[in-house]
Amino acid sequence: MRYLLILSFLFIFTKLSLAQNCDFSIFGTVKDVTDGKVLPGATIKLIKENQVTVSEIDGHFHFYKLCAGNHILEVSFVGYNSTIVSIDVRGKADLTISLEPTSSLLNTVKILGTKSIETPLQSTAKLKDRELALTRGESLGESLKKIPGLNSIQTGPSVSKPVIHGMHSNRVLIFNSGVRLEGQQWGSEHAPEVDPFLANEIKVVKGAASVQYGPDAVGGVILIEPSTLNYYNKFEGEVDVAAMSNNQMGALSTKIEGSNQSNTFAWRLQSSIKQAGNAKTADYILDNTAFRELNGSLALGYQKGHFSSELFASSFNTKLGIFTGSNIGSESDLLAAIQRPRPDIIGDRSYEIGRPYQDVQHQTIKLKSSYLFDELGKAGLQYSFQRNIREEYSLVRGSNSNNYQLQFELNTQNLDLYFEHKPLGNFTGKFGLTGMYQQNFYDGSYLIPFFDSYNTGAYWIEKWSKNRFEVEAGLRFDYKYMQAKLRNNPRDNNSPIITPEFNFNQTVGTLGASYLLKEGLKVHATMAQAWRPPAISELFIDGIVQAQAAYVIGDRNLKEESSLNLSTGISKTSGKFTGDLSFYYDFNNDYIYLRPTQEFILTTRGTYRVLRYVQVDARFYGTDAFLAYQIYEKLNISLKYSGVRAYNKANNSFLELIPADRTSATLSLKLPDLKLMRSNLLDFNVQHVAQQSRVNPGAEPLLPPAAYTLFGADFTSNVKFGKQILGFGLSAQNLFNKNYRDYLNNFRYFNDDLGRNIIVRLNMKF
Amino acid sequence: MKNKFKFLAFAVLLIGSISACKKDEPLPDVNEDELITTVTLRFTNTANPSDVVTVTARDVDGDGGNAPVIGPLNLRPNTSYNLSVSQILDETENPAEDIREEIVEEDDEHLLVYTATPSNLITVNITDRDRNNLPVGLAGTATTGAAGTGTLTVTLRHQPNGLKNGTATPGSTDFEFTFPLTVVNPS
Repeated sequence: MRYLLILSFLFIFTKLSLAQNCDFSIFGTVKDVTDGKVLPGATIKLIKENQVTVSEIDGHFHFYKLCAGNHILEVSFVGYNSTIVSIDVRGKADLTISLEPTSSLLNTVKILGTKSIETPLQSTAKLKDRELALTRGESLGESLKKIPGLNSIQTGPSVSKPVIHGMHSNRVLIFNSGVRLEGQQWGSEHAPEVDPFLANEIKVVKGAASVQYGPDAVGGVILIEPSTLNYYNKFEGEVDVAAMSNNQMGALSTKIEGSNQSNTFAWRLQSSIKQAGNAKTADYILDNTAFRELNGSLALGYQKGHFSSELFASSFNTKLGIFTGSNIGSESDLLAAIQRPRPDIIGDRSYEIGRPYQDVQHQTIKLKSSYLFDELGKAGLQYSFQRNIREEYSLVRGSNSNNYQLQFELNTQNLDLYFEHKPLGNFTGKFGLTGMYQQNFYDGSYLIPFFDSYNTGAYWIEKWSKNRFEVEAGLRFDYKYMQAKLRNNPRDNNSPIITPEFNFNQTVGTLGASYLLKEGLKVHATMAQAWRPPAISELFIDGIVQAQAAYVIGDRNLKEESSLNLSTGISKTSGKFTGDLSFYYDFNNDYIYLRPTQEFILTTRGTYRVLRYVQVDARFYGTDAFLAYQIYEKLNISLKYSGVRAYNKANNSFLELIPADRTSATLSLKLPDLKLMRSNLLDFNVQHVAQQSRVNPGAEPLLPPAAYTLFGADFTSNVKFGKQILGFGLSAQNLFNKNYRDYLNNFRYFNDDLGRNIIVRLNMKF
Repeated sequence: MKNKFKFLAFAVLLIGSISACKKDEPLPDVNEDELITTVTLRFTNTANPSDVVTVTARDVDGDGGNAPVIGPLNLRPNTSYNLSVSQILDETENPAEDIREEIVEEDDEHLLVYTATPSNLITVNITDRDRNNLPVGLAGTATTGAAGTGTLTVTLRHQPNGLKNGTATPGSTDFEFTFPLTVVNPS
């Protein structure tokens, strides 16, 4: 069998008013010549500019901000011969040229395999290029807030966790460079241990996706993806610098990479460092909110013939201060803190980190190898090891000043085996086996026990595509065994040691379809299941959780939580009017959540309300919308909205900590090129966050904070600096220094949210 | 081909060296750094030094488990006592850790607060002072009112970072015990 690769290009040339033409774009679609089927996941590289992109799910790709002249594109795709295409981009003003697929681009190749199913058909979003550049220096949780449907749950300014459709922590899976991130993610004050500087692109799958990604993908999945190793560049590098006014933060990220002469070996070395001082609200400085972070990673790749292998190692290290004013010893302390208009401790400009603070380290090593069988497809094997060490230091009396109060160590090993079969008729697909082994230890105070756990899973996903139709179906089974080890009364040395065992399993399926109505306009609908075993904290926690000022008790009889997500959406990617609109409805059965009770527990620090983990049938539904309109050539307006509703079906009560409705608008203006400044783009944005009115009276110590509106602006430009092009960004957040509090910030009881922040960013490639 | 195997061998070695097992690690000893398990108050009748009443609150298994055992405290009506906090201990340590000593060392970061319910049942005046001449509360005088029953709550406030200003408001609670109090003439 001989297959052919065809490329069809659609060029849209736009021209700016000044003489300099560096605002051309190339759009195109990569297709298989034999059947005209689009090829998602092909790599398209602009040789001279050294820009790389990957064709999207509909085979579509684009490059923006290209100067007039000759450009060379290299298109490569597993199983197809690479093709070099030379394009003369020198169009006349406002000229649109559509090119039919031509046979002059054909190359006869033998098929070697096919690209795996990259992301499921359901709602996905991406942060890349300029949008990603405008988040450099921010935490993952903050960065993702730009995507409709995403939020972050915060514990003061230094800890931020992503929230998808109102779900977070154990319901959001994060894959860092293809490795399922395993830390103590059950804690809402435990931020994900990832370095966003590593990412070339951040992808978000919204909604249940356990078939593709495994247990815990109930709310969604976040994929942090570095650019693929480049075997064709001898040496290149990139430096990013970010400086923020609010907390006087400085961040520096450097990346160098290269390959050998014979293009069989490639490497990349990356590191980033961040140091931030105390953050500031509109009126005062938050004491002890400084933090620092030091990360590094190394990737080595080898490919020859049909074999390829990649070794990846990374290290994440952070020390972050927790606002001193949040330190409470009892429920009456909490009520007193709520009464204060401002905290009783006001900080000053300082980089010092005192107690309470967290010290977290996360090390990852991954080895991934694959082999392409001519007649069958591609087989792959991935092994990873992660070590997560978290230490928490509380505010204590002098004699204990060297010790941590809590320490967790979690070691995780994953083994994934998969096979992507070569296309059979209109089918592409993948099946695989996964295994995970974890060991958890603690030291200091008891919060969760030791445990050993074994997980295994098997899955099969097939995608059928023909013309404008795509259908995807998949099935997965997972099993988890866990044995915990603890004292019957965890705070009594003489209490007997017990080793309770647990077994969890579930089979889940997914079914989705999409239809391309016309070029750039697509509808999709999916039905996807997800599940998760109860988290270790939900089973075993027994103690006071400071942030809640409550005594939290787990339940060892909790069973699996399962979710069915129905979603539908329409997206338009070309034309004056573009957008993405999606609706979802989640049936979350046996949803595990922390319910306040009428019980009280007497401790040496007074009486605490008891919160217990219980299971209820919950329902989540909502909508995410993104609409953009090109008013005229240089002026764009875009609107985003996300709203989510969540309730307990049994008694129609609301679920706590669900994000309030969020609406934002952005006005983008292309400014004329200057002699040394090109691609000048100025945005103004306004964001309105409503008050969360859907709360149960009396369930929380304080009503959710009032609605607020924030203004911001971003300016980006490519500055010519000698022979170099310097990416320059200037941003302002909370431009008018507005005083506000957010419902998803655990510290809303104690302090205002952040005041004005001016950010300068520089990017240089060499 | 040779390169490929070298590469794999290197990788396997690297992985092997980091995944060394520690399966049978023993559980750590119970260690609640900030725990205060035991507080003893001593009331000495100023008119009759041989009339000494001591009362203890104790919770040796920490938060959860068994509830604290507190008091009861019985005092004479309309009587003046010298009050001292004679013991503040962490009895989960062996030997018990003397927290009272630490409070004396860090007297400028601590304040004991006494609250009576009803308020006229007993009145406590703190007599000791820290290095900044602010009250500490490890010593004082207590004057009972007319016969009755109620409670006396003793709270230790931790007020570090220069927060201490002589009032109970700043800082956080290190312990809080509510003693049942009966003011009655002994029969």
